[in-house]
Amino acid sequence: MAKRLFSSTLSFADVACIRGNRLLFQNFSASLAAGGVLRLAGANGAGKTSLLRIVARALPHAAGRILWDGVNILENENIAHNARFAFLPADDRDLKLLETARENLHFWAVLWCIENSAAAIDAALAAMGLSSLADTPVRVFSAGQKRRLSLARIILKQCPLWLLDEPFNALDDAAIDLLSQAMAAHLAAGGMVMMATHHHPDIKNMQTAHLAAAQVAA
Amino acid sequence: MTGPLFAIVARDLRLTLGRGSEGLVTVFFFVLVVSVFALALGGDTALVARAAAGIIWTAAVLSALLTLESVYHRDYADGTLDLLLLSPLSPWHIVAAKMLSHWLLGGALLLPAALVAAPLLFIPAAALPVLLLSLLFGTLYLSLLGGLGAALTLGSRRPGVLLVVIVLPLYTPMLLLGGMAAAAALAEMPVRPYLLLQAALFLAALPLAPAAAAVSLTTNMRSS
Repeated sequence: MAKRLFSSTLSFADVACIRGNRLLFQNFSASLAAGGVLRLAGANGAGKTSLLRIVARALPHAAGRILWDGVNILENENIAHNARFAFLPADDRDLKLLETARENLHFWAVLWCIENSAAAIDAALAAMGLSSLADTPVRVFSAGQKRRLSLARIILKQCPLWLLDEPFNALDDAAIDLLSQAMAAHLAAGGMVMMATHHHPDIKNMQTAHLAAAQVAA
Repeated sequence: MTGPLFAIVARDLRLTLGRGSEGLVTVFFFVLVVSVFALALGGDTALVARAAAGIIWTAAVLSALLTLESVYHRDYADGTLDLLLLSPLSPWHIVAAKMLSHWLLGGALLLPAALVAAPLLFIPAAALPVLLLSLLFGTLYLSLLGGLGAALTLGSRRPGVLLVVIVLPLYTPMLLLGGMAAAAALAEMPVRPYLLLQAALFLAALPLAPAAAAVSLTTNMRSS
């Protein structure tokens, strides 16, 4: 049994999102305990990415509350919230192509003040099967290898909540297995995962929420 | 907080210098503008010497504007800026780091470049320390306000012209004082008041410009 590192909970109460003049979804309610997984499903444009970005406070919400351990994160402008989650964007543009895999991770390790960063970087690279490519410039990586590196960055952050936008994109079967293992370890440690994906990963106790306009979800 | 801040600066320097010529383009531009002025004014030594301060400052402003657009642009275009703003580092620190890299890759290099350019304009060696000190405050100030302008125009379709129109008026007080300091130094008059006022302008912009730029970037992220 893995050591439990995290014990936070996350719950949503009647969250709504408006982009432009369009109501994407409303009355979204769900709750996640330590070790919980929430899969966001829904048609293209249903607001899956927007919901992930609202949790990261990278997008304003139209209504509702999101409670972290009972405290509404949408009201208090607390920069410390940014240490609680790791955000995986749907594309991997934000990797610096001139840098090696290790240099890319090292930058974020310093930025996030990761202790023992060299060992943590090696562990994250190994977890996504990138050890042999650690010192290769990212510019020669394939789409799947870039995705693995972005996921290694999520593992590196060692934070309670993973916000993953299409984590399975471009991954081969071996990488999907590695990601599932990494996710299982994260959950066993008491972490939480929210992911927007059309895949149906085989994870125990996974909740699925269907996002759709004007509909009560989850 | 200093570790993450310098990590951003170090990465900017490494990536910009890694792209080769791009890092030094500001310096060449500066020296070229100065030489164009010197050549265009012909051999009129007296005229060039009198215009010297103005020429140096004009060249410094133009070369700083040259690279302003790219302060956040690359990180904005590839999504790194989003991830930076979602990190536990405060937006003020992120913006300040970006402004510092802009200065290190531009303004800071203009100080040695001014030493090279000075003989072209018949600037006497005695006036050089004042000119350099005054350029130090001036270039720092330009990177701060320029970083603010770049933040305000980020994401607009043609930021270049808009950026110049926003930044240049803000820059005029520093330009005036810089010109006066240099003129006073050339005339062997007291320069202290001008330098102190330049320092004051820089110190006022130091907390304010990053704060305003941080608000602008955060708003930009939340509305995109």
